[in-house]
Amino acid sequence: MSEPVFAVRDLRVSVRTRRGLASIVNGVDLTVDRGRTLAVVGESGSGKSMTMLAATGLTPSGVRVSGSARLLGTDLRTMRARKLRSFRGRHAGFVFQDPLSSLNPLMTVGRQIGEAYQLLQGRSRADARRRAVELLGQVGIPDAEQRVDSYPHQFSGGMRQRVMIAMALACEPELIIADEATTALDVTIEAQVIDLVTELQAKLGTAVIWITHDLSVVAGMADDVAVMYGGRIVEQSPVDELFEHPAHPYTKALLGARPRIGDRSPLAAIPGSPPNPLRLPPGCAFYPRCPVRGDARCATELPPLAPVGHEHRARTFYADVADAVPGGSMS
Amino acid sequence: MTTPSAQFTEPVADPATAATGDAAAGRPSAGSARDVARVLVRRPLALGGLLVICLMVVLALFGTQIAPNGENDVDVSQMLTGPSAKHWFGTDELGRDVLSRVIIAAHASLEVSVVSVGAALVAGVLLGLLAGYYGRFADSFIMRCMDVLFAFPVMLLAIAIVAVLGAGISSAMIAIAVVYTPIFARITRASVLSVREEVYVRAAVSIGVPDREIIGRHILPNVAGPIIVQTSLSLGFAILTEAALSFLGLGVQPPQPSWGAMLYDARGFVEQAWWMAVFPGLAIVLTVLSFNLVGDALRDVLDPRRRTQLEAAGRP
Amino acid sequence: MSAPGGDVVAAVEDLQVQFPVRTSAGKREVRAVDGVSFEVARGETLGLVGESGSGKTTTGLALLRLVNPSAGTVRILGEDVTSWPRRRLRALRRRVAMVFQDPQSSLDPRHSIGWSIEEPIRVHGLRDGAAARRARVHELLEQVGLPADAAARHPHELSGGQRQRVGIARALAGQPDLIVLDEPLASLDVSVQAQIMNLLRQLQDELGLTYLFIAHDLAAIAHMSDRVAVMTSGHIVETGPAVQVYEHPQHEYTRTLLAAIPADTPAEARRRRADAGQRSSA
Repeated sequence: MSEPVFAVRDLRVSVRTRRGLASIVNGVDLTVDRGRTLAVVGESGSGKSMTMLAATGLTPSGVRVSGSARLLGTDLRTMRARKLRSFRGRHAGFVFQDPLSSLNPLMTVGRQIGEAYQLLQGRSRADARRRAVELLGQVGIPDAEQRVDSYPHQFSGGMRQRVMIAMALACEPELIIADEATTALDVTIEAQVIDLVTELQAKLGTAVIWITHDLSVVAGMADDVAVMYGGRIVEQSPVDELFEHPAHPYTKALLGARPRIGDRSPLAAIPGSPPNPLRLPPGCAFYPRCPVRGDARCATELPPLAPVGHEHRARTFYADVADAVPGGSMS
Repeated sequence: MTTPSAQFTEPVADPATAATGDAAAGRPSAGSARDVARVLVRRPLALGGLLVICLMVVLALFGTQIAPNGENDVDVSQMLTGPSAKHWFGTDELGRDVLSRVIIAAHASLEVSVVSVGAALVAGVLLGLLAGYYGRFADSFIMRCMDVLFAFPVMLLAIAIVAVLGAGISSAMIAIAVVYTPIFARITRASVLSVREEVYVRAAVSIGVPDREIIGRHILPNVAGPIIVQTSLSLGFAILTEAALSFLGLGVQPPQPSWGAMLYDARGFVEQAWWMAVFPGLAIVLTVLSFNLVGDALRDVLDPRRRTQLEAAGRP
Repeated sequence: MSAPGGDVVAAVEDLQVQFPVRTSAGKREVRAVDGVSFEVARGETLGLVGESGSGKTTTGLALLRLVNPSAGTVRILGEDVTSWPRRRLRALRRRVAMVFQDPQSSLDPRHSIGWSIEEPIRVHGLRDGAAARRARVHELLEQVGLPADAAARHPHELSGGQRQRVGIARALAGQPDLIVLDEPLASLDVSVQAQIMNLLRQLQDELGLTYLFIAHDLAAIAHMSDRVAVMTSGHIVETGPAVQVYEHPQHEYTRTLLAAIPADTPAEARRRRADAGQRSSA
C-alpha cells in the first residue's frame, strides 16, 4: 500500500486568549491517499478549519501548534519558513470560501494563476501565461484566451471559485485543500463546482480534503469522512458507511436534523450550542447536548476513537451502530 | 419528540471566533475602559505621557498656589541669572522667576487647547454626523466647506482669523477651534459612512427608530473611537498652535504668561540667557509628546483596524 | 396570486424596485424587482425562494419601505403604503417587522441584548415605564427560549443561534402583523438551523404569526412554508401551495431549481450521476 499523500498525527492547536487557554484542536489524526477525497465535517468551533491551517503552517501568530503533518512523507511542521512556503506551494493547492477576498482585485487572473507557477518552477512569463490559459480551460471558463486578462471582479461568484481552483492546480499539486469552498455559492453553481473537482481529481489523481458543514456536499463527493466536534475527530469512516450506519450520537443527530422535503413535522434539533474551547468538558465533548447519554463514563472519561465497523471508528462509549436511522426522525 | 429545548446552561460564546470574528470583520470591538487601562499599563511610555498630562492639569489648575513666586514678581537684583538654588529655571530680563512663569503659564496653554479643541470637537462631530448620515446635498455642502478650510495651512488661517478678530486669548481660541473643526468633521463622516451601512442600523430603521435616535444611540457610540483618538492628538497640536500664535504676539497677551509668549520674550536673549527659551520650550515639547503617546495608545485600543493588526502580531 | 381564506395581511402588486448602478458605460438603472405580485394571508407562511440576485431580499425590504418601490403597490392590512411619507413609516414598521440574515451584525454591539429587544417597545411606546418594558423583554426572552439573564449580556457573548433568537424576540416585540425573515438560517450552523426552524413554527402556532420567509435553501423553504413563490431575475415564475410546487412544478426554472437540490445520501448521488451520464451519452 502506497504512502498517504497527507498524514496528520496528533495535531493540537491552542491559543492563549485574555480569558484563558482555548483548546481549538485536541489531538487529530488524519490521512488522505492519492486520488481520494476526505471530507472533514463539523460546525463552527469544531476546529475543522484550524486543523488544516495548523497542519499546513498557515495559522496566525500567537497560536500554539504541536503534532506532525507529513505531506508526501515530509513533515511540514519541522520545515523552515522559506522552504515550507515553496514546498507547500508546489505540492498543495488551497481553495477558500470567499473568492472575492482571496483574489487580488488589482491583478488579472492570468497573472495570479501564473504567479505561483512561475516562482516555484522557474518558468518564464510566457510559459506561465500558457499554463494559465490551459488551466482556465480545464476548469471550464469559456474563452480562456481572452478571459485570462480579465480581473476578478469581472467574473461571477461561481466563475471566481473556478479561478481559485485553477490557481490551486497551477503546479499540479498532489493535494488540494478546500475550505467551505462552495458555501457561498448558489445550489446550481455549487453542483457544477463539485462536479468539476470530482472530474479533475479523476483525471489528475489529486488527493482532496474538503472541509464543510454541509452533509449533502459530503454525500456528493466524499470517499471518506471525518466528523469533528470539540476539536477532536468523533467519527471516521467511508462515506456510505457513515450515512447508512452512523455510530456517534452527534453524527446521527446531524443527519437527523436536516429538513426533509415533504415532511413538515418538527425537526430533531440538537439543543444547546457547540462547546467553548476555553472550557471543554472533561469527558465526551458532546455529552451536554447528547440525546442518548448511554454510558456512565460519558461525562467524566474521554472516549477513545474505537473501531465500530470496517474502517469505521467512533469516539463514543455508546456506539450503537445497529440503531442508526439515517436521516430519519429521532425520538 | 422533544421540542427544541429552552434548556440552556450558560450563554456560550466561541472566543476564538468572537474575538477574531469581530476583529477580522473590522467591526468596532467593545474597546471598554478596562481595555484602555490594560493597554496603558503595558506601555510605560503611554503611562508616562498620562502622568505628565495629569501633572500639567494640576499645574494649570493650581499653578498660582504651587509656584514659588508670582508670575510678575520682579526682582531687579536678579535679572538674567542662570538656574540656581533660588531660581531653578533662572530669571528673565525683568528678574522674574522662570520656573514660576512656566508653571503658571500652563493654565493659559491648556485652557486655550481644551476650550478650542472642545469647540472643534462639538462642531466637527456634529457636521460630520450630518454629512455622513444624510449624505447627498448636506454631505456635499458641508464637506466642501471643510475642504475650503483644509486648503489653508493651519497657521496662516489662524493668523488671518486673529488678525480679523484682534489679538487676544479669545481670538486664539476661536481661531484654533475653526482650524481644527474640519479634521473632526472628516473623521466623523468617514466613520459614519461605514457604520451607516451596518446591518444593525438598518435593523433600527426597520423598527421605526427616529433619525435623531439612530444617530445618537447607534451611530455615535460606534464612531467614538477614532474621535477620541483625534481629540487627544489635537489637544497636543493645539498647544503648539497656541504657542506659535503667542510667539507672534497674536495669542495670549502680556502680562498673562503663556509658553509661546515666553518664547517670544526670550528671542532677544537666546545667547545670554538660554534658560528663558529652553524651559518653556521643554514644557511645550513634553506636553505635546505626552498627548501624542496617549493618543497612540488609545488608537491601538479603540481603532478597530489597528486592533486587528496588533492582535495578529501578538501584541497586547 | 391570491391567498386562500383568512384576511390578507400583505398584498403586493406589480412591484418594481430599481437601483442606479455606475458602470464604465455610465449610470444605469437596474431592476432588482421587476413586476412582482403576491399576497400573504394571516397565519400563513409564504416562502419566497430564489438564488442570489433573484431580487427576493429586495422584495422583502420593500414591504417595510426599507427600499422604495419605483412602481407598483404595496398594501399592508389593506392600506396602500407605497408612497407614504417618511413620518408615517414609523406606524408601518410597527405592523411589519424584520429578522435579518446575520444575527451578529444585526445587533448593535455596543448595547446589551435587553436594550436591543426593548428598542421597539420604547420607540412605539408600547409599555408605560421602565419596569413594564423590562417585564415585556423578559417575556419575549422566555418565548424564544433564552434565560432572563441574557438581557444583561452583549451580542458578542452569545452564540450565533442565541443571537438569532434575540433577533426574533426583537421582531416579536411590537406584536407585528407580518414578520419578514430574510435568510434567517443562512449564517447558522446546521444543527442550530433546526432549532430556529422549530422555534419559528412553534411561535407561529402559539401566537398566530404570519411570515414571509425568504431563503435560497429549498429544503428549509419546503419545511417552513404553506405556500411558495419562486423568484428569479426580479420575477416570480411560479406560486402555489408548497406541496404542489415541489411535487408538480409547472415552470421550467422551478424544475431546474428542484433538480439542483443535492442528494441526501451518497448512493443517491451516485445514482444521479449515473443517470446524468446516461442521459448525456444517449
